[in-house]
Formats: sequence, structure tokens, C-alpha cells
Amino acid sequence: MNTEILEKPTKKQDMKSQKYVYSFHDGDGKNKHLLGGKGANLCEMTQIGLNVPPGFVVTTETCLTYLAEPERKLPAGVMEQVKLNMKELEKATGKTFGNAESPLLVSVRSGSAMSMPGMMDTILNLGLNSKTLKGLIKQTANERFGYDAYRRFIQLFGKVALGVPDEKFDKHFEEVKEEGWCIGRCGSGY
Amino acid sequence: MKKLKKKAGVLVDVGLGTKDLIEISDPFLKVVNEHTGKPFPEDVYEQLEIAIKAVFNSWMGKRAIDYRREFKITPAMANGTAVNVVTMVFGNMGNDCATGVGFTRDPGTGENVMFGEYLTNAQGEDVVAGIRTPKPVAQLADEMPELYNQLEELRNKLETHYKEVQDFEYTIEKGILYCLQTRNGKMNTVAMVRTSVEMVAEKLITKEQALLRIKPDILEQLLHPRLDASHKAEPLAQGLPASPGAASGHVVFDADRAELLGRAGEKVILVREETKPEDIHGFFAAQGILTSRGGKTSHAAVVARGMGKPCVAGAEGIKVDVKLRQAEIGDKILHEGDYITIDGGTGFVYKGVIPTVEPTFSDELKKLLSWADEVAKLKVYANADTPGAADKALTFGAMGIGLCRTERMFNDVDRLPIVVEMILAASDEERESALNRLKEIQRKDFKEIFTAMKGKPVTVRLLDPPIHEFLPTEDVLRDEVEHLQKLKGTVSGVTDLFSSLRLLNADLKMAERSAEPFTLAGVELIEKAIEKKGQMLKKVRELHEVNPMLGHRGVRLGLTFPEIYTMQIQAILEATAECQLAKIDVRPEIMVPQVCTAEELEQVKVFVDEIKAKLEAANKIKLQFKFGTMIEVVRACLQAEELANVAEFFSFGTNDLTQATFSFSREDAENKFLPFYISKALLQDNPFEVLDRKAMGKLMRMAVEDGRKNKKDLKVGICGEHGGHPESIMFCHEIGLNYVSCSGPRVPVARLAAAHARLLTK
Repeated sequence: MNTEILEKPTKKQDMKSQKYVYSFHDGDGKNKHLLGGKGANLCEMTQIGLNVPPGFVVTTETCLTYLAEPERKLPAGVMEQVKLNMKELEKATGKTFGNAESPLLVSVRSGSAMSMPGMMDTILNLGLNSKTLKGLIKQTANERFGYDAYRRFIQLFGKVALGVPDEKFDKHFEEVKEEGWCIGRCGSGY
Repeated sequence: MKKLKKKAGVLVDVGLGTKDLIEISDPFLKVVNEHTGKPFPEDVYEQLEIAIKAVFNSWMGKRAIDYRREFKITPAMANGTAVNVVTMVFGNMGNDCATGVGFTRDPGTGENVMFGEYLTNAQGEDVVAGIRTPKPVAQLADEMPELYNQLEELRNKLETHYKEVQDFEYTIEKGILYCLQTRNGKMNTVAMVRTSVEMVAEKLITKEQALLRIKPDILEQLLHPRLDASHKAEPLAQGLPASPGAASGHVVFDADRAELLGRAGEKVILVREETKPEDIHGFFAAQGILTSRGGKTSHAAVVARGMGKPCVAGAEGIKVDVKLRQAEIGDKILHEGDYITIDGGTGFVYKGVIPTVEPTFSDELKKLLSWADEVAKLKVYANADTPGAADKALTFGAMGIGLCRTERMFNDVDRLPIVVEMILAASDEERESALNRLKEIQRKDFKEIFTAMKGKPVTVRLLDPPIHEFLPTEDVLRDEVEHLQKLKGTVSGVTDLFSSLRLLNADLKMAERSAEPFTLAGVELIEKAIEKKGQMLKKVRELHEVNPMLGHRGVRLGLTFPEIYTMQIQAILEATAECQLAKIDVRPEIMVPQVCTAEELEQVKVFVDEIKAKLEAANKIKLQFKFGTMIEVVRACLQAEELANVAEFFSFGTNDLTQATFSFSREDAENKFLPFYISKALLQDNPFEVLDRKAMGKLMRMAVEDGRKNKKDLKVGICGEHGGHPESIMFCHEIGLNYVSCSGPRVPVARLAAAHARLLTK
């Protein structure tokens, strides 16, 4: 199939001007179809003054457009809008996404109009890498916590986003875990 | 080493040292590199883009598709998933951090107390995944009193705003409480009913909202069995009561096998250490779920509650070994296939099968349904054939009996012989004698039912099935006659043998014994039996019909053998007279089945009027009753105007009417082609389950309108199976029926559905 035919300039323009992303401050809390149940709720909760961590929603329409695209590419403009919203999160938290000193970390969750508990995947601690890990440790003054977050992220991102089966991680985890118990038992403390 | 780990008991990740965690990140990164052929992405925006796509892709993943299919989630209800990108807050930064999930009210009982669990120094997934067993929220009041107060405040804010029980997740990061999400709480039916009633009392919602927030169908869950309180069984183990109800079944340790056995019609209990979303097919197949780890908000608990299946979670005394296909409980071993019983209301697990009992109505449910009755236009009657069933129907809140099938009264062991005698009667006298005895039995039954239902209508349908239904089939009779013939030969043979033995040796001990029952008297008895069975066989052959469904039954039978209907009418009206004389308020309604012409109905009316006149004269009273017809053949729908001249009420028999409208015989249709039709979208639903609005609905609407042209206050109801289904009840409301009649246990469902129909069509 000739992909150029699909990418007509007018369509491209339309797609670029479309709103794919809503901040929790702007999204309509009643529009579950567009924002998903969870997203709409986060918007609503934010707007009624509950202490919700700052965030934003990428719409279900974006999902459908993406899934209809044979090459599975995000519609043009989505990532730009995501980046703008990330800047807002940075402002609100005083942290910076990807920054080695004071890294901003986010969770990425699904949420459709109907509640489907546990049916889709969630990624936590996104934004960690070898550099930001150092920053996280500095921020929290807690090395243990930082590495724990890091290994959780690698495993979850590996499983959910990259399709690495859990067992491959578990193997290594079990090894360390058993050693860990031994250390505990030997009296050197947890 | 393994033993050591086991000895240490429950795994707690907090137990891992920093060194271990540092060590583990490198092999983890390597695993990713090996598996994907690319290094783990360092660029954070690349991470974000991949993650967004992964969430989108999961919408078309197998788990999500299965879930949508099972819960019938159509694109109109949910199409695509959104992605939520949220700043991380950490519940695992130290001991001043925690994470938890909560319900604004107890989702198991509905009680107005905060319900939930939390873990100190943990991330949210740890609570939900059930990897560590969390602490009840009340404990937070001791551990972090200030935050507990904040949590109570959050709970109140949520309910005041959403006016619905909320299921929320929160995290405490270094002493600051964040609300991560909230949604309407999934509760079992008991809790739905209780919260509905209590939230009205608290003026949080209106009565109408209270009614509408409960789907009528789920009320049937309240009919979940409980364990018989008199059982003496010692529990094998105890976990958390995670989803109420009791269930027994074979122990199965994985979802695939549960599905396999479930499909084969076996009852199974899925037993797992903990469950994961990929176990979902096992839930569908199982009667109940038992886990050894995780709390009341673990995956197993949440999913089981949603499905209304019993669940015991976190029964920590059970060590599940999937490989060996067994579970250790103390010194006992449970093998796969063993029977167990779980009680999701108490959390107890028992070996073997423990008898269960039906539940009773709570006061909350009674109150809620009384609100439903205030709102509803439709009355809800029950189908009941015996005095016992009538009593039961009353406890379900039936406002009358819409269908009392007289033939069911004939089928008792002590009655059937009289019915057979009536059918076989060679002379009028014989038949009359049998009929008289039947009449006495029926009169007594009717009197009891009328008395039980005093003040409420009782619709009695005259005999409907073809007469040969009371006789055995031709094959059975032929075999029986054959056996009896053989027996007769044997008996004569034995008699001969005994006399021969005496001749051979008079001292033989055997000769002292009598040949009873192998005597001539025995032979005579057998001959009589053969004669009777022979008569029955002859009659069965005589009565044989090519298509009994469309044959000699209902009013057709009633008119060709008038003595049967006359007997039944007599029984009904005599019972009525007796009750009236005893000052009991009775409201019988005589209903004629299978009517297709007004003339048929007029003819039966002649019988009724004659008997009525005689009884009124003899007792010097005026009998109070109604006379009406079933509408269950197509022609009756088309002749409604004429039928309304004779009938005071109509009652749609939608089982037969569906068969007639589609020209489907129900059994053949359901066994042979309906599943195919539905899978290929040739029909949207099974019309025997979901009333066919398009065509049969048209017939019904027309019959109601035409009938009322002639008789403005014509009472119209429905007594087919559809009378208990919420969607069909909605239609009955729309076309202006006066009542629906359904099986006793469906009455509560129908009462709520009738209220919904009114509220949703306002």
C-alpha cells in the first residue's frame, strides 16, 4: 500500500490541530468516552480540589486512530502535545523529566470508559535511567529505595512495553532473594 | 536454601538488602537486551512513547478482548483506552509512607464504615497484586492518626461529591496524602441494597436514584445459598471473607484445568496462591475461588465480587504446590480433584461437600422493594401451582398468582392413577366416578390456594396439555406388557415346579415351603396388570398425535371432552363459594388456554354460566370471579377485539406465542440451530429468553389495543417465562400491560424491573 496517499496534507493538518491530550485541570470529568473512566475521574477529582498528583490524559480517540493505523504509529502531533503537558508537570513539581539532578517520574496507565479491573497494563517509575537514578537517590537520600524503584521499572517496562516474560526476571530475582534471606539470617540485618 | 526461605514464612520484599537491589539491576537490563536485541531505552521521551503505545496495544490484547466479550462490553459502552500520565508519588520511600486501597463503605456488607487495606512502605501494586498481605485500614488510626483523619475526610468528600460508594486508591508520601484514583465501588448485591437504603436515609440520594442504581437481575444473587447452620464440620483453614456465598466443588489448581472441567459440567473451586488477570477464564468456570495470599482487595477478591462468586482470600495456612497438584494444610494434604466447600461470608474452608440453605429476605431489601412497588405501574404476580408454592410466592412479594397450572396438580403420585382411570374409563359411570374424585382433590387445592392468597387474584388455567401426557409412552408400555407376560410364564412355571417336587420326594425340606407369592392368585394379579397396561397401550395408540404441540390440547380438548373442563370449573367455583361463605376475600380468575376463536371462549363461558347459576342458587350468594383467555396463538392476537367481548382479561403466554410467531419448536431450535443463528447474527437473541419486540411485540401491542377498543378496562398480563426478564418487563410496561407473572424467585427482580420501567420511560 502506498502510504503517501494516506498522508494527504489536509488530513495531516487536521490531525495536528486536533486535541489529543487533556491536562487534569482541563478535561471534562463527565466525558468518560473520550478520557476513560479513570482519566475523567482524575480530572474531576483535581477540579473538585482533592490532592491528586499532577497529570494528563491521552484520549481514547487517539487510541482508535493509532490502532487503525497499519504501521502502528502515533498520530502526528500527539507527542508534541504530550511534551507540552510534561512541561506543565515539571512546573508543578519543580522536577524535570530526564534530569539527573531532580528527575520527574511518571506512571502510565490505561483507562477505558468501562471499568475493567486488572485487564490492562500499567507502567510505573517511567523516566528512570542510569542517570536519573542517581538523582532519585540524591533526592530521597535513600539508595535502597532508588534501586528498588529502578528494578521495578525495568521489569515492568520490560514486561508490559517490550514483551519480556516475567520468568526471565524472576530467575535472577530468586537468586538474589535467597542470598538476601541468608544475609538476614546471618545477622547482618535486613 | 529453599527450606530456609520457606521457614522464614511470608515473603516480604522489604527484606531485600540494598546490595541485592543494586546487583539485580544489571542482570535485569541484560535480560531486556537479550530478549529485544536492543539496549533498554535510556531516552525518557522514547520510554514515554513506547509506554503510550503499549497501553493502546493492550486494548486489543487477549485479556482485554476476553473480558469485553464475557461482560458484553460493546464499542458503544467503551471504545479504546485512554492513557493517564501521572506524576509518581511514592508509598515506599520509608516508614512514613504507605499505600492503600479503600471503599467508602464495606463492599461486602454495605455497612457505612471505611473499608480497606494498606501497606506501609510499599507501592500500590503490592496491595492490589496481593503479593504482601496488607493491614486493615483501622490500624492506620494507630499508626498515623493524623493521616487517618485526612483519609476519613477524603472519604466524606468523595461520597458527598459522587453520591455513590467509591473505590479509591491513595498513597502517603512522606506524610502527604494523595488520592490516586476513585471509581464507583463494585459491591455485591447485599451491599448494593443496604447502601441504597442507607444513602436515602442519609439524604445523599433520592429513592428513585436508590432504585436505579441497582440492576434488577443482580437481585437474584441474593438467592445465593449459605451453608446449612446445623453442619458440624470443622474448618480446614480460614482466610478472609472476600466475596459472600457458599460453594462446593473439586479442587483445581490452575485456570486452564478449571476451564476444562467447568466446560465438562464439573463443579470446581479454583485454588491458587494468588490470582492474576490471566486466570480470568478459570474464574468463569469455577463455583468459587480460594487463594492463600492477598487481601480483600486482591485481584481474586475484586473479580469474584464482580461476578457474584464466593471467594475466600489469603488463607495463609494453605501451601499450594501447583507442580505436585496438591495443597498442604498443616498435616493434611488436599489433592487435585478432592471436594472442598468454601464460605465466602466467613472465610472458612471445609473438606468435602457441606449442605447449603436458601437465604432469607433482609429488611433492607424489603424496604427497597416496597419503594419499587410504590413507583411501578405494573403489578408482579407469580406462577404457582400448589398451596406451598403460593405461600412461597407471597414471601417474595407476589401480588397475585398469574398462572396456576391445574395439570401440575394431577401429576402427584396419588393422583395420577385417578387421572389414568378417567382416561381409560370404558363407561360414562366409570369416567364420572374418576372425575368426581379429581374434583374433590382440586376443590381442596383451590380452596387452600385462594385462602393463602386472600385479597389477591389467582389465575387458574384450565387443563392445557394433551391427555396422553398423563400416560406413559408407547415404548414404555410395550416393554412393560412384554415383561409382565414373561413374569406370568415364570410364575406358572414355579407353581408347577413346587407340585412336581412334592411328588418326587415328600420329605424334601423344600417341599415344606409355600410357593407364595408364586400361586394362582399371583398369576391372576399379573393377568390383571397385563390387561390394564394393555388398555393403556391401546389408548396411547388411539391418542397418538403427529404433532402434539399443535394437536388435541387446551380449549380444543376442553370442548371435545366437556366433562374435564366442567369438572375443573366446578372445583374452582365450589372452592370460591366455600371461601365466600367463610368470608374470605377471594379473587379467582378462570383462564382458558389455546383459544383462537371467540366462539371457543363463548362455549366455555356457557359451562361457566351454568355452573355459576346452580351454585349461586344453592348457596344464595353471588360468586365473585373473572373469566378470561390466554393469548398464545397468533390468531388470538388478530382476534383480540372479538375475544374481548367474552373475556374480562387477557394473559399472554409468550412461550407458545414465540413458537407460533417464529414457527420454531423451542427444543429443536435451542438444541439445533439457535446458537448458530445467534453467533452469525441471524438473530440477535434467543427469542425464548428475550422477548422479540420487533414482531411478536407488534402482535402483542395490537392485541392490547384491539382488546381495549372493546373493553376499556380490559386487564392484560403476561405469564410466559419472559415475565421475569427486565428487558421484556420494560416492553410490557410500554404497551400498557397491567401485570407480569413469573416464577417465585424472579418476583423480586421483576418488582425492581417494573419500577425501572416506569422511571426510565417517564
